[in-house]
Amino acid sequence: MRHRFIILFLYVVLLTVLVACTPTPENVEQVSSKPAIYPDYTDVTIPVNIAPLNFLVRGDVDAVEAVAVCGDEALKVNSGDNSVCFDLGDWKDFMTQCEGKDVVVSVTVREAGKWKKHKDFKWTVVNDSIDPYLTYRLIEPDYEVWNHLTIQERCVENFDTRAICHYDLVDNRCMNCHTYSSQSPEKSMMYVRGEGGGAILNEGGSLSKLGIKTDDMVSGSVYFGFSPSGRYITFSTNIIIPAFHGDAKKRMEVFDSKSDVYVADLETKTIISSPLLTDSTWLETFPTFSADGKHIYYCTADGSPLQTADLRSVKYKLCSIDFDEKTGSIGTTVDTLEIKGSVCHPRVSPDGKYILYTVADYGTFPIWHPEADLQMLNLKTGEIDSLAIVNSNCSDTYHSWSSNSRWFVFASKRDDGLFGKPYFCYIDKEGRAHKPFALPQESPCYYDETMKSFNAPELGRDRLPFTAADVMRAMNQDIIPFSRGKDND
Amino acid sequence: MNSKISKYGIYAIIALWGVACFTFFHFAYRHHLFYEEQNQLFLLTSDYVATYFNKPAWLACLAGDFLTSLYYYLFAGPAILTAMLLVAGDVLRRSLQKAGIRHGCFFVAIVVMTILAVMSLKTEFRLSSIMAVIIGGALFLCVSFFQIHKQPWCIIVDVIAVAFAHWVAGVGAIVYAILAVIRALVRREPWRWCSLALPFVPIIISLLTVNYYTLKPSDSILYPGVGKLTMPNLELERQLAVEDEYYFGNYEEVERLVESNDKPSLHELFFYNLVSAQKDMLPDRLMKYRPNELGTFEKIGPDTHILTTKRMHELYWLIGDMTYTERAAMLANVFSPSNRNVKMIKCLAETSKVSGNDKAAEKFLRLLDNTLIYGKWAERTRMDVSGKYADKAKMINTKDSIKTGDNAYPILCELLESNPNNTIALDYLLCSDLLLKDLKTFKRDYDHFCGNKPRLKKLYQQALMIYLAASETPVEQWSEYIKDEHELQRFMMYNSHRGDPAFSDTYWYYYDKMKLNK
Repeated sequence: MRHRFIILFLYVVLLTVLVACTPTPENVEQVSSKPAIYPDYTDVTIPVNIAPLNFLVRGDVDAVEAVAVCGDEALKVNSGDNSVCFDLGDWKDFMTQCEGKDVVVSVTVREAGKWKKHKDFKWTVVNDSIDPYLTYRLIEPDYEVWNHLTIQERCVENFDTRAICHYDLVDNRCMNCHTYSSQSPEKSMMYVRGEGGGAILNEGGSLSKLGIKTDDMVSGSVYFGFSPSGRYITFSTNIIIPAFHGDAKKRMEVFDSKSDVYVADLETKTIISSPLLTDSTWLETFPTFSADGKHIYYCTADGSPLQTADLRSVKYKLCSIDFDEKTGSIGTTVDTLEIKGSVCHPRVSPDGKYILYTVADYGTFPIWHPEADLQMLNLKTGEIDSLAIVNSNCSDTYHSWSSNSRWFVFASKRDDGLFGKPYFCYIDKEGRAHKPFALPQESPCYYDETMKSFNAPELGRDRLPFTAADVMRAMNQDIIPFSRGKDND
Repeated sequence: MNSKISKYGIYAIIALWGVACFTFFHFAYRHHLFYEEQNQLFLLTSDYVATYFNKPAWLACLAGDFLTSLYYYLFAGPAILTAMLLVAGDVLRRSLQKAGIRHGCFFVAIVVMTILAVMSLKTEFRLSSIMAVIIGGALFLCVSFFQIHKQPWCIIVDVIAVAFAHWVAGVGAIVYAILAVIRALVRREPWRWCSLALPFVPIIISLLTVNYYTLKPSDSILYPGVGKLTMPNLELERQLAVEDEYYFGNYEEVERLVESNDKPSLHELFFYNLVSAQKDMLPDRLMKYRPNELGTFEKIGPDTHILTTKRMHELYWLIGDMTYTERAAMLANVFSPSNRNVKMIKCLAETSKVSGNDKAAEKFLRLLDNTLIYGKWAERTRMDVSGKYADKAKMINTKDSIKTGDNAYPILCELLESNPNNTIALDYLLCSDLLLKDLKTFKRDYDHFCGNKPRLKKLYQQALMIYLAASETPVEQWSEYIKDEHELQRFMMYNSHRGDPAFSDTYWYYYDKMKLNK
C-alpha cells in the first residue's frame, strides 16, 4: 500500500514537471506573416475524415502553441519543440464538430526566447469524405534501378500503415502500381516482376497470379485500368528507355521506344487487340476506361521522331475508342481530344464528369518534368481547367480519384523537386479545385527523414482483404496464362 | 593456488586475445569497419529510432547501429568491436557457468568470440548480430539470477523470455533457448524434456509475425543475421584504404599506397587517376600501370560490382557532370544496406548545391543535421564559406541535351563544350581515346579541344606521332603538332626496335603490344 502511494506521488511529480516544462506564450508579439509550416497546411480544404494535420514550424523555433478554433470548439497543442502533433481522439471529435465549417488556426512560436504570433490561417472542413485507404509504392527517386521496394496501404483516417507487398517476402523483386477496380478493395491488381513473377489479382481476398502477355507483345503489361464491371482491364505494353539530361536540374528522361494498348478479359483469360491500338508507327499508352465502360481513353504519339532521337518532338495526344463490355469488342474509330502539350495518365472521375490528366512539354514520363502539371477536362462542356491552385513548379502527376469524385490524390515533388509525396485535392460541386494538402503523418518529421518517394498513389474504399504474406504465397502459385482472343479488324 | 594461477592464466589469454583482436582490426582491417560505418545513416531522432521496432531484434540493432556509427573515429571501430566481442565472450562464459557447466566455459567463450571475430571480417556481418548474442546471453543471466529454474513454472518464464529475446535480440532468442536447454539438462530440471521445445519458440513467433515484420520466417529467426566463416580480405582492405584516403583528401597517401603496390587493383588505380588528374598528371601517369582504370568505360546498373557503383560518383563529380554524379550517388545509396549510405547522401547534398537545387540540398542536409557526426559538415556545406560549390558550378554541363545510357564520351565532350578550360575532363577524354587505341577519335578530339591551346603532354605527343606516321603526314607538317624533339628522336629509335621493352613506358609500346580490355 505504501509503495502504491510512492508510485502515485512520483507519477504526479512527473506530470507536474512535464506540464511545467511545456512552454506557454507570454509577452507575445504579433507578426504579419503566416507561419512557415511544413507540410504546407495553410488555407487548405480537408475532408472531415482525415487524420490529424500534424506539422512542423520551420526556422529556429524551440516552442510552439497551435490553436485550432471552430465556433465554440477549440483544439490546442503546446509543444516544446517545433512540431505540432494533435491527439487522434481529440482531433476526431473536433473534426466532427467542424464538419462543413472553417477552422481558424493560430500559431504562436518562440524564436530566440521571444514569442511571436503569426497571422492565422484556415482549414475548410468539408463533409465529403475521402476514400479512407491509400496504396502507394515506396521507391527511391531514381526509377531506373530499384532495390528494396514496398507497396503499402495507409488508412488516411489515422496513421495505420501496412505493407501489402514487401521486398523481403518476394525475394527483392520489382513491383509496380497497385490499382483498384472502381476503388473497391474486393478487386485490385499489382505486378510483381522478375522470373516467376506476374500480375497478382485480388478477388475478394483470393489472390491469383496472371501472365497477361502473349508472345507478340512488346512487353508485359505496364499501365492498366479496370473496366467498371471489373471483368476487363485495358493495359499498355511498353519498352521503356531511360535517358539523362545534360542539365542537372532536369535530371532524367524516360521514354517508350515501343508501346501498344490491349484489353484483357479476366474471365476468359484472353487478350483482345485492335490494329488501331497496336500501330507499330505510333506509340499508344496510358489506357483507362470511361466511367460507363463504353470508351477507352488512352494517349498516343507519332513514334517517328524517335528515329532521329528527337525526344522533344514526341508529344502524346489524348484519344478515345469505343468498347463494348457485353461483347468484349473494341470500336473502329478513334476520337482525338485537342490538348496542348504531351498528355499522360488520363483518369476519368467515377461520376464520369471529368478526365484528369498530366500535361508536360513532351514525352511520356512526367515524373521528371518540373513543368508537368495536372489539368482537368469537363467531359460535358469540353472546358479545360488548368488547376492553377493545384499545380506547383515541380512535377505534379500520377493521380487517382476517390469513389465519390470529390477528391483526387496525386504525387507531387513540390517540396524538393526529388521526392514525390501524396497530395489530396478537393473538387467541389461546382467543379472548382481547392488548394491541396499532403498526406498527414503521425510524426511531421517523417517526410524530412524518409529517403523514399511515394509513387502511384491510389485511393480505395476499404481495407484490402489480403496481406503481404498472402502475396508471398501467391508468388508460389502457377501462373495463369492468357491467350489471344478475338482481334478487331 | 593452482586454481588462482589457472584463473589468471585464462585472464591473460583473454587479454592477449583482446589485444590481438584490436591490433588486427586497427592495423589491418580498419577500412572495412569504416566501410560499415559509411553504409548506414544513423539518425538521432525518435522517428528513426522507432523504425527499429519494425523488425525483430530492435534493441540489438539499435545498439549495434549506433555503435557502428562511431566507427567513423580513428581507433573507435576496432576498440568497440573488440570490446563487444569480449563482452559477448564474458556473457557466454557466465551464462554457461550459470547453466551448470563447470569446466571449459572459458574455452567455449574464446571459441565463440573467435568465431564472431572471424565473421566480422565480412562487412555484411553487422555489429548488431554480436549485440544480439550479448543480449540473448545477458537475458539468460538475468533470468537465472532469480533462480527460477528451481520453480515448477520455470518453463513458462523461459518461453516468455525467449519470446522477449526474439523481440529485442532476434537471433539472441536462439542463444537464450540453447542456454536454457543446457541448463535444464545439466541441472536435471523436472521439466527438462519440455525445455527441448524452447528453440521452437522463435520459429513459432516468426511464423506468426510474418505480416508484422514482413520477414520470411527463416530470416526472422536469424535476424539481424548470422555471418560466415571467412578469411581476411586484405586485398579489399587495401582497396578500401585507397578509397578512404581519397575521400578524406589525403592525396599523397593515395599515391603512396598505390605506388607501394606492385600490382594495384583497378579500384586503386581509379582513385590514383583521380588524384593524378587533379595534379595535372593524368597523361603523365597513364602508361605507368597496365591495365589501367579511368572509369570512363564503366556502366552502372543492378549487375555492376558494388565497389564500382560506389566509386563512380567521384569521377563524375571531378569532371563536373552533376546529372551523372547524382545518378551514381543515388544508385550507390540504393544498393547500400537499408538503402542508406552517408557518403552518398553527402554527395547528393553537394551535387544539389552545385546544380542550384537548393531545396533538394536542404533535404539531404537536414538528414545529416540529425546525425552525431555529420551535423557540422552539413552546416559548413549549407554556408559554402569557401565558395567550393559556387566554383564547381562554373564547371558543370550547360548543354540542354538528352543522352541514353552512361557512355562517358558524350558526357566529356559536352563538359568541354560547356567549359573549354576543364582540363580534367579533357585529359579523361583524350586518355580514354588512347586506352581504346582509337587514334582517329583522339586526333579529332585533340584538334577540336586543343586546336587553339595545344596540350603538350608526352603521352599525347607520342600518340600524335603514331597518328601522323600512320596517316603518312608529310614530315614538314609534323611540327604543327610535335613540339618535343626528344620524344621525336625516341620515336625514331622505337621504330627501329618496335616492341622493345625498353620503351614499355611509352604509348608506342602500349599501342603495339598491349591487348585491349574487354
